[in-house]
Amino acid sequence: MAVDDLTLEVPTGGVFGFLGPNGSGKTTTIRCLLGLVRPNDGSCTVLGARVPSMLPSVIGKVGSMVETPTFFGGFSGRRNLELLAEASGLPRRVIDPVLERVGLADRSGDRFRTYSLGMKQRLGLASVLMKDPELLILDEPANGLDPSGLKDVRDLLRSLADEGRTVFLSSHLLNEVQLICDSVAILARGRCSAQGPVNEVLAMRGGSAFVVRAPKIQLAKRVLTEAGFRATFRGDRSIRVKASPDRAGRVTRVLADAGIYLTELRPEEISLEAVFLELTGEGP
Amino acid sequence: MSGLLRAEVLRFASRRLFRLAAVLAVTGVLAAALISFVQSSRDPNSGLAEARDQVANCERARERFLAEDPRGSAEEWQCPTVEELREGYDKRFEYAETMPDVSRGVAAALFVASVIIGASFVGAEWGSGSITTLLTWEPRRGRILAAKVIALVVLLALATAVVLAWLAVAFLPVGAFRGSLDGLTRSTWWTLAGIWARGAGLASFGAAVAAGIATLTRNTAGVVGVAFAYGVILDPLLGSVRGGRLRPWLLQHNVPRLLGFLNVPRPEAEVSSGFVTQPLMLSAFRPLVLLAIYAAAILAIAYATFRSRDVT
Repeated sequence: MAVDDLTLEVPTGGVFGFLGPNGSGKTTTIRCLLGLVRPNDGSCTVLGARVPSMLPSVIGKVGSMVETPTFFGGFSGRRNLELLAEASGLPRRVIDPVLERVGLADRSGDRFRTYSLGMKQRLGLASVLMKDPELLILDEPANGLDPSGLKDVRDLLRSLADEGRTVFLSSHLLNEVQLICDSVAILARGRCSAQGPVNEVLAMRGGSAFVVRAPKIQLAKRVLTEAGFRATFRGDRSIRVKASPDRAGRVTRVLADAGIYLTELRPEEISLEAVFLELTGEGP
Repeated sequence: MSGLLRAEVLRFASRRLFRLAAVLAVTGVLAAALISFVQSSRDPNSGLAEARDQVANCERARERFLAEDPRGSAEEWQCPTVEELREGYDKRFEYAETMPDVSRGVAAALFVASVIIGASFVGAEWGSGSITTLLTWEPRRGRILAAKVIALVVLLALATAVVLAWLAVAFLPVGAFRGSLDGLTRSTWWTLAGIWARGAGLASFGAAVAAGIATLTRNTAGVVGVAFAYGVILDPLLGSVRGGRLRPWLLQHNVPRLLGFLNVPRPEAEVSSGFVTQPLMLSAFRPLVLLAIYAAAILAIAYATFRSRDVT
């Protein structure tokens, strides 16, 4: 079963990050939301409309991109957008501005099959923007983008959220997600492991900690553990010592008393990646 | 729905396969007319020399036979007369007499082309994965299938009628300058127009069935496989069981009837009296209705499957 007992509530407005390792059920969830696959049990609602029965009533307000955007390879990017605009009764004048906005205006006349992965993603985003959507459901929109493209997409999504739209963003680029998301959900083995505003999810890492580096790392860990600290190896020849910031001196003293002199002691930065790895069981 | 239909019409017209087929059809007809023009002759005595040669060859062979086998009877080897052979060697292009059969043959070829184009039109959507994109714009699958089928059926019917009309026009100079237009009356044009309409109907049937099967198989190759398996293996097989009693319900019987082909063996009379031919123009009503029912049934199955199956 790809997704099991998943309950998600996405707040209106802002960027919602939907995270999970490969095969955790992110794309299946998105396909359910868009009526492409039917759940065996349970229900989805999008903008208050039940999926799939009422989806047609809100689909005009939902821009979506599932995995790599798929268009007709033999048609130009512009032609593909024209066909979609025609299908939903949008005027063709909406095409040029969105091509400009995603930076594809110069190459819009080229055949889709000649596009790089990054250009395909840009065209996918252009098609999403054509609808002027209230809700954007994007599955890995940054796939294949170069650093400048990543920044462009990040800025674009942020600006869309700032306009009051809701962006539901599935991604494995955790740093990107942390930079632009207001709230996140972490999916592991088809179930939701954590959900909420980014700072609340970061806090789930379990309080503050220090990163300690010293010679005789095995001995250092044993000494700290015997002194009552919760010390674990980080995998990069350093130790994670769970302790409040005011106990830095105590850590130094315990190690010095054992004849171990620190080479590094710093507060651990809490990253979404660390929380993600811990919650999905993929950490060191 | 109208927007979706317009989009499907635009997509159809933009497809390279359709454009290529259209160019091939137009140039192919023109080339055939040119070849026919070159090979035909207005001379009523054209072919007389070939007929005489043929008869002379036959006479020489007959004499050799009798010389080598004196016991042989002259009646055992009869040669045709020049007059008997002359019609076969006549190079005059008799427009009114020839064009209905030529049109039927071309309509049959366009039927096959319609199946391929119809299969490709729907199959390409699944092959490229763009059906996923389309479904995120229009989740009502019935509308999507209906728009595709309507676009295909209407456009291929029109294209077939236009190609057949072009065929009639392209061969007019051949008849006028390299044969004759004798017998070309209003009735001939009605006959030809009837064949265009029947050809258009047959093309619509082929396109609808191909679209339905492509929706089930979700690719173009699957349709070609199914069409081959049915047309070459299953249909003839079914036609041969139970003394051919199933034949009136099969494509092998109804497709030629719809086109009004001459010399179609009448199945019920075939066993008792051998080769019996149909009248000049067969009624299109029964085969048209039957084929429409088949197409509707396949499309209904395709819709039910499309509606319930996940798109992954």
